[in-house]
Amino acid sequence: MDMDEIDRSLLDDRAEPRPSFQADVMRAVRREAATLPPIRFPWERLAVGAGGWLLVLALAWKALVSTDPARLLTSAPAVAVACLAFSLLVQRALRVWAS
Amino acid sequence: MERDPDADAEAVRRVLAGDVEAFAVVVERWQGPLFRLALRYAGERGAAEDLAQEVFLRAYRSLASWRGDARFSTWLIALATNVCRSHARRFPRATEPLDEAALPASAPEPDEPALAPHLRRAVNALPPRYRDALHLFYFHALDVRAAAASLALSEGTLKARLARGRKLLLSALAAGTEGRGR
Repeated sequence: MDMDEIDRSLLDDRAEPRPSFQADVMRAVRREAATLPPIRFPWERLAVGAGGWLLVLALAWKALVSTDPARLLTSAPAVAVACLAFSLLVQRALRVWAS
Repeated sequence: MERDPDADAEAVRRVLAGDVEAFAVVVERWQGPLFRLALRYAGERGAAEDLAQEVFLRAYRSLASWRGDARFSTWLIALATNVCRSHARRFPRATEPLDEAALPASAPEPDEPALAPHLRRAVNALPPRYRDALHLFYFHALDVRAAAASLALSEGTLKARLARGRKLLLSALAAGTEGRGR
């Protein structure tokens, strides 16, 4: 046997699967698609949320300590509004990310 | 093995959009080539169909990782090659010595050349690097570039492995013929 004969034999490949092969594969694919992926704990979202809240607290603390106690009464509502606005912004960003 | 790449891309886009049935297009277009590749590694039809089905399932699971920068055929055949090679590692059916594997043993299937089964056994008995090179070379109808891409090798490396593999195969077949003559 020479290389040409080997080449011809190994090249001449007309084998086909059974006629029901495609249906069998699609049955397995449908089964696979119907299996819900396991629900992962959303660590990424938790990290972003916790980071956002830490930032809000840090900013609030900084605003409080840098404010003259005499002016605290007048600036406290502004700080509260700023914190609320920031937390709403973080929530909105998380909602967009999740969608 | 030139197939309309747009049809593959369109079917993949539909599957990724949630239309599971569109995957039937991929299966229909690729069942023949993937079955034939699996048959080269598995050696018999039942195992080859199981292996080809495993390739399609893996492809379905990881369709999102095909980014469209490479041809779908290149991606799919590289994936199929990896699945077939790991199958060959897990189930090393070619533990028989190379010269024994070169002896004709099983009858050919109705749709294949008479010599194919024992030649496949002889190729499967080669060391994996030469076996893979030869399987992919013949699967891609002697296209060195395509075979090298499927194996993620340079063309030069593939040519060197082919040369060595073909030499080993020839000597195994010659030894097998002598053995039968005795």
